[in-house]
Amino acid sequence: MNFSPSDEMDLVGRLRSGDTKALEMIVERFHKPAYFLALHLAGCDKNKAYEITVYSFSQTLQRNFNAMSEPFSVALLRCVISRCRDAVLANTFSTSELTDLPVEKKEPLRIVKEALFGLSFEDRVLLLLRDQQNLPYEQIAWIVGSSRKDAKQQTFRARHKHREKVEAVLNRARFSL
Amino acid sequence: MNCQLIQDKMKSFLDDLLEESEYQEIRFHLEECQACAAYASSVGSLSYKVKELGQLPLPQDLAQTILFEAKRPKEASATVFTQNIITGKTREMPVFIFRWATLFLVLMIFLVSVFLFAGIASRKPTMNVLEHHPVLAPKAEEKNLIPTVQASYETGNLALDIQAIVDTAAFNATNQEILDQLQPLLSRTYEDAGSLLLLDGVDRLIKLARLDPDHVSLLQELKGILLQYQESHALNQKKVEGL
Repeated sequence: MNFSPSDEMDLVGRLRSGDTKALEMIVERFHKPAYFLALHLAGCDKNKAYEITVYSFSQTLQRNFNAMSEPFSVALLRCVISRCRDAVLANTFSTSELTDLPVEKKEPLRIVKEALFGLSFEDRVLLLLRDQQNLPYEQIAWIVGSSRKDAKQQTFRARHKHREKVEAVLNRARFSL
Repeated sequence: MNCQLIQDKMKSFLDDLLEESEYQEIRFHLEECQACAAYASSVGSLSYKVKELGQLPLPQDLAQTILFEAKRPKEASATVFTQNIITGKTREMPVFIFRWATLFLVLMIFLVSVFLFAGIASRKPTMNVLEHHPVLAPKAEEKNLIPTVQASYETGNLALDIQAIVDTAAFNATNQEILDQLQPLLSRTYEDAGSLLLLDGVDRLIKLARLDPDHVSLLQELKGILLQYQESHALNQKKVEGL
């Protein structure tokens, strides 16, 4: 996710003045990270992630940009996280997005996703924002509402827990064989 | 940064041990350079696998749906049409008018409820004989019975009220005088069925063993007066019905 605040400000400024091209650029730039965050955060299927992404864009774009005190991307990802938190209550874990992959690539990713879903919601948020979206810790801290130092520490802990979960999944697979 | 340098730092990058500027530099490089991306994948880091989860194919029409939703006028459904019953013309009314009207209505209902409740709460019971009586009130005040009267007023407990009367009677030398004073009061309060409650209270007080014999006789007299009045009232009612 290309996270240049000045570019974003420029795009939002153009959008505010009614430039439809700017809207297309915003959607083009942010729809992929928003969708994959929804898909792996809620552990839900593709349709639910799709629905969450469309809803989050709609909500964020409807907000009054004059009153916005945060970048568009931060508001968008925060909305996605909030919607996913509700979806997680349904607690459905799906790997439907991996069905089209070859087996040698599908199996490791399935294990990684299963282990990811074994983490707490907060740990998953941090891990996905850092390792999947590659956001700087300043932005992550902004999104989750903590300090940079805390965000970094918690991400490291989440990564450690994820590694343990992956090992547990692998051990379970070995025993079942 | 060239590819060799990137690959040297790959392990630190995947373990997230680099400075933020270096981390972002390698990240941008991996988006551009296929060879380095393949190398990162081959290292087998868990972090890179999480990243690969975000590189799967996207739904084809996602961007179009978002754009369609963003461009769709949102206030289209937020209007209602009103029709003039004389001219038959219809016109659009913004829904916010109805929202404000609903809010106003809810507020008004709340305020009326509060006033009604406050009115009911401040109503005084009719059987509070000591509070305003010209003869009994000073006596009650002298014997510090006002808190008892106040308690009966708060709880509506007539037994407490009668206890106050009995105490006042004990204080006074001539009980008959008090009974004479009570009689018109009780006659007046009978109309709202208060004396029926008072009768019940008298019965309860008579049963209390801790009362002095003087008090018991006083209460029995009081009960007799009440019963007498009740009978005469019933007789009057029959006469009225006969007419």
